Amino acid sequence: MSDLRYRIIPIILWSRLGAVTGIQFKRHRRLGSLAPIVKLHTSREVDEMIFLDIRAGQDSVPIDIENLKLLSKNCFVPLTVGGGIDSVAAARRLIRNGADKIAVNSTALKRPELITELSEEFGSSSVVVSIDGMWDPNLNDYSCYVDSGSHNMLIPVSEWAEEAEVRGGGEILVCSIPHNGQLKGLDLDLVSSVTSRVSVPVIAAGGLGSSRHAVEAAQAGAQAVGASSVFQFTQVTPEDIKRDLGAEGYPVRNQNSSMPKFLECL
Amino acid sequence: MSRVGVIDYGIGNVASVIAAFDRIGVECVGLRNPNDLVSYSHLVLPGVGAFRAAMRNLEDQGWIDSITQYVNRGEALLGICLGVQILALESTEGMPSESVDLVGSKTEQQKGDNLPRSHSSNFGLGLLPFTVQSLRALGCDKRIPHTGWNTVRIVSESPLLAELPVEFDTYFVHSFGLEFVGAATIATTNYGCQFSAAVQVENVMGTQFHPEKSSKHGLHILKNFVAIG
Repeated sequence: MSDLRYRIIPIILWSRLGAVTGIQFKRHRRLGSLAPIVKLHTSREVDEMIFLDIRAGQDSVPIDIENLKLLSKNCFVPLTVGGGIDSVAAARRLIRNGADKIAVNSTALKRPELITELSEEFGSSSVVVSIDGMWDPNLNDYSCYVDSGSHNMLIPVSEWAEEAEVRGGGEILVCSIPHNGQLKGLDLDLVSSVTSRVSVPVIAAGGLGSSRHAVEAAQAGAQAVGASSVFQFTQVTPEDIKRDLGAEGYPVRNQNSSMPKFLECL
Repeated sequence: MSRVGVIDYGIGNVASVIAAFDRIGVECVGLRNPNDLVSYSHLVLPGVGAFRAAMRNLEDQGWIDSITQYVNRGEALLGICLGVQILALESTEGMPSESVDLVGSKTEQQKGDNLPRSHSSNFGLGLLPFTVQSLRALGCDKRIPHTGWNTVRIVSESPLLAELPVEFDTYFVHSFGLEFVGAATIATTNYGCQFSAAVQVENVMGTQFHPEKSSKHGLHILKNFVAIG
């Protein structure tokens, strides 16, 4: 097989003193400390991990480097880190301490030049533009929300996604605010509105509750699916999702190659 | 005894590389002084970012000569992602014909034409016989950057890829790549076009993918690297 693998990416949300999962960006369920969560994902051979500090931007407290080091020491797949990154210096601090890619959201919507600055410094492939979207009847389109979904920017998601790509974003992470934490499936129209508009890879998130939902996201054109609650509160594992994706003809990683004994070191 | 260092020139994912060596029980030190290379036997040149910025950093910090001297001593050098591109002859990245901003500029620059080997040049270290080109120029018609897990296919035996299956998956994230060169390409990958996934010329080697981020197979490649020499 020579096709790029469809990726399963756990998203780890961090809020002040602990890992959480979100419910429609309004409420959070506390999961506790980071170490067991990272170990769980590592043991399950996930394809990547995304760590988002959802308070860093609003509290103006930069991402805790000790947390990042702990993550990076235990994560041997790519690690994307986001939360309040507003400058090249802030991003460099994270990349120096174990981030492989950086995600920007509110800071980029408020100052789009940031995306260009980051991609010129770190390469567009290291810059993930994260977009939180929700249908806005007045806009008659999906609109971008910032500051953990609390403020409507009145900018259509698809337009912003396209601008983000032009400015140097190498990947788009799109999350549905109302679907977040509901486990009832992704907002496929939202996902399609982005995948049809950009040529960079798209990670679809918000609402994944079963492997069927991941297949739907792939059909909507996404190259990866991001999820949090499903891996904490259900029996569904990344392996289950990959098996079902594979059965539907979407290539996934290492499904058929048996791992030689000497490689069993993780 | 092997001593493993990773060049910390300001734009690599140094911590990830060190963490991966740590996981396989190998001590690896981040190096910020070019004079330190003399006491190392295995050196990693990581790289995340843009070619010109990386070359500028290497030049400004005085790495170029010390890396060349290191290689001339016969010690093992591994470039990762942008790091392997830096080891090549030159890159078209950021050249007028590749740059969106400068489309329409009247004088399209010829490859390496009259470019002084100085700050922000498109010349690499010239340790590997490749020219770095955009995946588009190599014929890729898919989503770029090439981001994610893809198959690496071994095409020629090498100590770096010893004991690995003929095909295995690794993690890529890049928009530029090295073409296939029979004498130096040890593994290839297809993504709308074929390019070199892993390369080796004597003691200089590199991977376009990220072994430090490619789970078990990637860690095994790092083990192989440390065992060379």
